[in-house]
Formats: sequence, structure tokens, C-alpha cells
Amino acid sequence: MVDVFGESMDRIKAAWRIGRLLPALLMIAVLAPGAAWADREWNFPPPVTPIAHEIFELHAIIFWICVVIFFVVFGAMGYSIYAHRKSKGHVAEQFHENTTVEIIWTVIPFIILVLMAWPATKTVLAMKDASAADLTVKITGSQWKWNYDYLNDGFGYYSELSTPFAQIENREPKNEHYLLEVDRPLVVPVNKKIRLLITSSDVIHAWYLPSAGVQQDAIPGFVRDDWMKFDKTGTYRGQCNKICGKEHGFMPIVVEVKSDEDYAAWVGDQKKKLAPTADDVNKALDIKDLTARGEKVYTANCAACHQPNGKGLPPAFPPLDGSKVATGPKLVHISTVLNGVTHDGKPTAMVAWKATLSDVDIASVITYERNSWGNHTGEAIQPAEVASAKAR
Amino acid sequence: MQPDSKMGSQRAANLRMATILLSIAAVFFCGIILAQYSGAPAVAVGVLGLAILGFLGISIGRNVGRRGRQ
Amino acid sequence: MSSIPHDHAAGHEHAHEHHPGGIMRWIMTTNHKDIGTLYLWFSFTMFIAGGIMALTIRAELFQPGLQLVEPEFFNQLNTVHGLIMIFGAIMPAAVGFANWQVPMMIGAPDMAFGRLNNWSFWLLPFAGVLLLGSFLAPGGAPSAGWTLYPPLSVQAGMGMDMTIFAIHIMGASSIMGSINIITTILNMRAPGMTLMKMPLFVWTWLITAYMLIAVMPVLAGSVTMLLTDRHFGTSFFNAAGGGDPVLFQHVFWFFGHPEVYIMILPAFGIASTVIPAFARKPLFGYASMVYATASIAILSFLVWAHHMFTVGMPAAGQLFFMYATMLIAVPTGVKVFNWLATMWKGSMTFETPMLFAIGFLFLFTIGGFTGLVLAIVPVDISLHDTYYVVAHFHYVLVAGSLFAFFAGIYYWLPKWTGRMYDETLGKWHFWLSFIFFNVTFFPMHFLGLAGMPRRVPDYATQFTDWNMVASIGAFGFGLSQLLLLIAVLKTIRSGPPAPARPWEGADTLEWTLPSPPPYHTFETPPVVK
Repeated sequence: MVDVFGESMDRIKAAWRIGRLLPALLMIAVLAPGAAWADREWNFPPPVTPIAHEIFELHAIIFWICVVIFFVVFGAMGYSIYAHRKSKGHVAEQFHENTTVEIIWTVIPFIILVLMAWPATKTVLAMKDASAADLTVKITGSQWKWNYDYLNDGFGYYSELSTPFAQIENREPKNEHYLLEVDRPLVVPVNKKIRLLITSSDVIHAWYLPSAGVQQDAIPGFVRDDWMKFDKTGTYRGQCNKICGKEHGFMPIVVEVKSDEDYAAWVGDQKKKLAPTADDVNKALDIKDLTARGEKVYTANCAACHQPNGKGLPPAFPPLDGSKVATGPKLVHISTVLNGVTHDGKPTAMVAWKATLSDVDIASVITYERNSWGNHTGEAIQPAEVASAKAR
Repeated sequence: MQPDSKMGSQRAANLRMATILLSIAAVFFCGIILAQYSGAPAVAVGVLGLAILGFLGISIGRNVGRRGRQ
Repeated sequence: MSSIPHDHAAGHEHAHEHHPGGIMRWIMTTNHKDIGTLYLWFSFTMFIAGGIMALTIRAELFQPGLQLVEPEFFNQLNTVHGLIMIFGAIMPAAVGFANWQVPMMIGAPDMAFGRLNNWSFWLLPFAGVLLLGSFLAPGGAPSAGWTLYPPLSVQAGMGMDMTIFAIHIMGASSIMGSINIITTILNMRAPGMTLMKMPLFVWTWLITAYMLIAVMPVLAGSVTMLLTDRHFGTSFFNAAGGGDPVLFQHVFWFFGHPEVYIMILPAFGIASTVIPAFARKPLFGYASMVYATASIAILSFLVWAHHMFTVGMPAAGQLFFMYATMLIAVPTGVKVFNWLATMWKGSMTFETPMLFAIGFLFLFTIGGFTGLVLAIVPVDISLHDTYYVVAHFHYVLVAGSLFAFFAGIYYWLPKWTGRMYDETLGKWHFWLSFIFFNVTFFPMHFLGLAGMPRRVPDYATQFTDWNMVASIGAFGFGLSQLLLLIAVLKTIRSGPPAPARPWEGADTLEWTLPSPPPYHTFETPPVVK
């Protein structure tokens, strides 16, 4: 008797072991070419704000309640499938109503829901309280970059993807933070309540930073507020999370959280840069300098639509290589870049750049466009020409 | 009852019901657009939403639970 | 639900069966069975078209970097995949089931309005061509996501106008179909078939049809406003002209959330028909099932803004929509428990329809749990528009609606064709679909939690592994669906003849008819005791 029992126990254990191993083996077979297990994501990123902590815990509570219900319900179903089958000779009973049971399974879920709703309500109210902020940053989404304005300090800048095209097109190995890296991150101090005023200049975007538990749509014509307060310094990454057109997947958000001293030093730096106007509009520049600077401006602002090779993506994004605008009269070209293109009175994807780029940048990029690929006008556009076109 | 007249009366009842349902749909369609032109679009849309909910509540509610209804 | 045997020979005496042959039969038909067949084949065609788009998307997402398609085209695929699967595959399939089954299940000779029925169907191919044809328009297909949020959708090219017209046409088709179904159910039941004796599938369709009449005009109205914003200088949704882009979202989701239940309620009806048949036991809690369906329908109109928790609404709004959304879990729970109690102490066998019904029950419940997680506002703020949401709605729409429809197809195929399907093929179809479905969509929960946005053509490297798994699963799932085509074709061409009632536990009226049923059935109504 004992032996038989022991043997069957061994068999059960063996089966259990195989049962546990099988999915693992299957997964390894599928994933062997991938990275190590430890790198894989299973849950929220580590929370770094009080709200994100609350969200993390709320999710954990609800997840485990669901897991328990899952095992109770499907345990019962599993047993029923095992025991109440015709092949085992089970004869069907014909009951089809039981008021007591039906009331119980209406009331119990209701009570569980109330228990879930209670902590959630408290967090909702906390999330909405953007009062008494130490610092206010206005965030404006536009196709396809973010603008950060430090309202208390009077400076602001654009922040856009810094991953090179070559990596996106698989011609170079990818960086560690591929697609989640920007030229200039949003910089904020640690342990300070930061109020965010979020809006958009064209379509709806969403400012989404998972580790801070922040996600707010950026809606053109409306300003919404939100807030965050970081527990620790570090660099945190997110993305635009509302489809906003072609480059929606290439509009990352990077937030650098600095200590108070580092933050103060950084703000000082920004203000210093602001003081002397960077470029002299009236200084004439050499065509070589203009083209070199223009290439950088082009890569950062124009290449997404018109492509690095100037061929564009017709019909939505016309080519510049050999185009009428880029080889015709220069005033038309300047005005196109300055004021954008409208169609039937509505703005198109070709936006007006006069607010975004400096006169020197615009002069450079136009010079670059008129002297690259198959375009050989040999003309150098001077910043002064741009300034006078703008004034007109 | 004669089969023909019975068929006829059912056809009439069917048509009546279809006309009512179609006009309700038409009212909702026009309502959602016209609501934007009223003085207070939010209120107008809200009223329309309640009307839609009322339609659903009444139409489903009057059938549910009628064991004897033929 | 018993009935007296019906004299089938009588059916053939009404010999007004001079319907044209060949293709004209299908174009001119007013017969509910023919139209049901047309709907189902149309739906399958669209399912394959949408599936190919999905596989292209998954192929692009197999690894980071851009490999196969440009971001712009990727967005178009994403948008049209959603629209095609919802309006082209799931909804017409449900109407196809209604056409075949509702008249036979209530003992009616046909639908109330034959020619209207023909028209409702034949509008759909035109809508389908417009929608798919938008890929050829200058600027390509719409790329703003199936939700068509302005201002992005106002920026788009002519493909967007084609899509708007396609939505108008499909909406008109749905409304006409619903009017037909409601009238048939309310006016044409056999003597003795009281409302509370109707099979649950008929009940779920009655409620679904009412919902369609309530919300399709709202969708049509909102896309019409989009159209006039695009071309006629109105600014309903344009802040610069005094409008509000968020208004579109409110109106869209006032349609959109009931739409979710429009797609799932007929599936509930099929599950409630199949599970009792294979448990050989009456459906547990018939009355509470009807009440639960009705309350889900009503509640679904009060929760739309849970799709918009990130637009920045006041706390009171967020709380109201959170509570209302959580409340839907109660009637949904009642349904799940009722199905479980139907299986409990039954005498179950596991033919393909039952396997799909159990698969539906199991996976739909998982989708219900993630729905509950997403109802919690703070958690939703972190998960909104991530792959977690993609996982959630594929659990309820693919493993929910679609699996239940598969169950219905295998269940009624013997009746429709008069031939039995190949059980082995059916089981392969189920198990491969079940496994690959989970391989595809379960990892998406992890991706969403980790913060991967939906609708992106490229992603950061930490998301690579799960995307690879999902892509492999997607190709497995897609290819498995060819088994359905093979199984159906094999049944039609060479399946062994099916008896009138191949399922021991099936007790609804259609099983009193021979298999296949004669072209016209129940011209003399059966009497239901």
C-alpha cells in the first residue's frame, strides 16, 4: 500500500515537474535569440513620484483580487469540466434556477467593487490637486516635438528625438535608449511640486511619463493642468501617447530630475545663454558655412517629411530635390519656409517656421536646400534677406 | 380570421413599427448636429443623450419580463 | 422550449420558389437564409483583409527599427484594420447569424422586410470597396486611428472622406438591418413563443438592434460634422473657430462604447445557446440572463468617458465614469456565473462548438478582468493608449466575439449545409487559435505595463522580446484561420449528411427542421407550448 502510494506520488511529482518545465522550455525555444530573462518587462516601471507609487499599489491590489477570483471561478469550471462529462457517465441534472445563489453572486461582486473603488477614489482626488506648486512648466506638443516653457524663469526650448536616422533604418547598431532620447530633456528639481500646463499647437498629443504616473492629452486651443513631484534624481523616459501623425512614434519625452543645487546651476546657465542674442542677423555669411549649418537644421526639422535625400514622400510630402520651390525664385522659397503652406485656407503639414527657427537657421536651411542633391543654384541666402522677407 | 387579412394586418403592423424606428433614428441623427447650433450645445447634447437613453430604457424595458406577452 | 413537430412536406407545397439561379439568385434574393449566407461570406472576406493588415503590422513590429513599411502607411494599416474588423467583419457576421437564426428560432417564415434585407446587405460591399479603396486615394487611407479624432483627421487626405462615406453607408445598413430584426422579433413569433420563451440568442439580438438604432445615428452625425469641418468651413471640432476637439471624442464614444456591447451581446447569445446544448442541461437563470443583458445595454450608455480619462475632465466626472464602469462588472459577472452553473452537474461533451464556447468564456473573463483594471482611473492614467489596452480589447473582441462566432458557425453548420463538419479539423482550428491567440495577445499586457504606446511603428529596444513573441503568435493565429475556411469548404463539398438534430442537447426550433432546411420554412407557423 505504502509503495503504491509512494509510486503514484512520484509519478504525480514527475508530471508536475514536466508540467512546470514545458511552458518554460517552450518559452526558451521561442526566446532563445532574445536577451536574458532579467531584462524583460513584466510590470510598471519603478515608480518615482508619490502618485506613481499609489498607482503601482492600486494596480497590485486589483491584480491580486482578480487573480483570486480567476482561480475560484475557473477552479470550479475546471472541476466541472473534469467531473461532469458525459464520457465519465455523468447524468445531467435539470436545475435551472436558484434565487439564493443568484443573489449571492450579484451582491458579493458588488461588495468587492466597492472595496476597490475606495482607495481609487482617494488617489483620483490627490491626482487632481495641482495647487501650491513650486514651479510651473508649460508643455506644448507640436508635430513632432515638445516645447517646454519655464514660466517662472522666462525661458523655453524645443525637445526632440536625437536618435539618428541611420539607427531607425537599421544601418547602425541601436543606442541603449533608442527612440527614448532627446536633444534637450525637460529638467526639473527633485522634491518640488511641478505644475504642468499642457497644450498643443496642432493636433492632439499626450504627454506620457509612466514612471511618474502622468498622462495628459495636449489639446489644441485648451490648456489642461497636471502635476508631478519626484522622489529621487535621475533620468526618466516616456513618449507621446496619442496618435498625432506620421512621426507619432518618434516623439519621446525625457525628464532629468536634478538636485536643488544642480537645478539652480542649470537655470543660471539657461538664462546666461538667453542674454546675448546668439547670431547677428546683419552679418553676411559664406555659402559653405550656411550650407553646413543648414544641413544640421534640415536633419533636425525637415528630414522627417522631406527625407534626408530630399525625395520626400509624395504626394503628402513633396520632394525638394528638383522642386519648383527649391530651384525657382528665392523669395518664394523664403516665404514658403517662413509662413508654411496652406491648402483651402487650412494649414497643412508644412507649418510656418518663423516662430520656431531663427533667421540665421532659416537662411542656412534654404541655402542648403538650394545647393544639395540635384539642386545647384549656387545662391547663398543671407539672414538679412530672411529678416526683410519676414518684415514684409 | 382570413389568412389574407391576417397577413395584411401583420404587414401594416410591420410597416408601422419600421416607420417609428426609422424616424427615431432620423431624430437622433439630426439632433446631434442641430444641438451644436443651439445656444447651449452642451445642454442640448445632454438632453439628446438622455432622450437616447430614455428610448433604450422604454423600448427594452417594455419587453423584458413579460412572460405572457405574445 | 418545446414545439410540436412541424409538417415539413407542407413547406414544399407553397411552390412560389421560382427564384433565379446563378449569380442573380444572390443579387435579387430576399430570402433570409441566402442573405445570412451572404453576410457571413462577406464578413469572412473582410476578416481575411483585416487579418492581412494585422499581419503586416505585426511583421513590422517584429523587431525595432523600420523594416517593411513607412510610418505613414503603418498608421493607415492600423486605422483600416480597426475599421474593417469592426464594421466589416464582426458586425456583419453577427447580422449574418441573426438572418439565418432569428426567423428559424422564433418560428417565422422569413424576416419582416425581405427587400429591405436585401438592400441592407448589398450596401455593404460598396462600403467595403470605399474603405479599402481609400488606400489608392491620393494621400492614402485614413491614418488617424479608427477613432478618427480631429484635428488629425481634419488634416488627412481624400481617403478620410471615402472612409466617412463608407461609415455612413454601413451605418444605414446597420439601421435598416436592426429595424428588420426588431420588427421580425416583435411581430412575427410563432403562436405560443412568448418573449420570455425566446432563445437567448434572439433576446440578445433584440437588445443589440435597439442599441444600434440608438447609436448609429450618433456616429453618422459625428462623422458628418467631421466632413463639414473638413470641407465646408464649419468648426464643430476646431478650437480656433470656437469648437472643441474633445466634443468629437464625447460624441464618438457615446456611440463607441455601446458599440463594444453591440459586438459582444450576440456573442453572449451564441454562448448561451451552445453551452446548454453540450451540457445537456437547460440554461441556468434564463430570466436573470435577460435582465443582465438589458442592464448591460443601459449601463453601456453611461460609461463612454472612460475612454477619455486622460483628456483632463474634472474629478467628479472621472469618479462618476469610474463607478459606472465598475458597475458593469456586476451583470457581466452574473452572466459568467450563469454559464458556469449551466455547465455544473451537466453531462458535457466537447465538440468544436463547445470548445470555442468554453474558450470564449475563459478568455472573455480575462478581458473582463483587465477591463476592471482599466476602469480604475489612476491605473488607467498609466495604461491609457498603451498595449495593455490593445491586449484588453482583443481579449474581449477576438477571444470574446470572434470565438463565440466560431462556436456558432460549427454549431449551426450542420443545419445550414445539411452536412457535418470534420471534427478533427474543427478541434485543430480551436486549439491552434486558442494557443496562438494567447501567444499573441498575452505579452501585450506586459508591454502596456512597461509603457509601450499603441499605434507606433517602431519602439524602444526594451520592448523587443515581447513584440517578437506577439508577432510569432499573430502569424500562427492568422494561418490557423485558414483551417476554418478549409473546414467549411470541406463540409459543403464532402461532409457526411447531417441529421435534423445532430446535437443531443439542442432544443430550439430550428432543429425541428430537416438539415438543410427547405428554402422556405415555417410558412405555417409551428405552435410552441
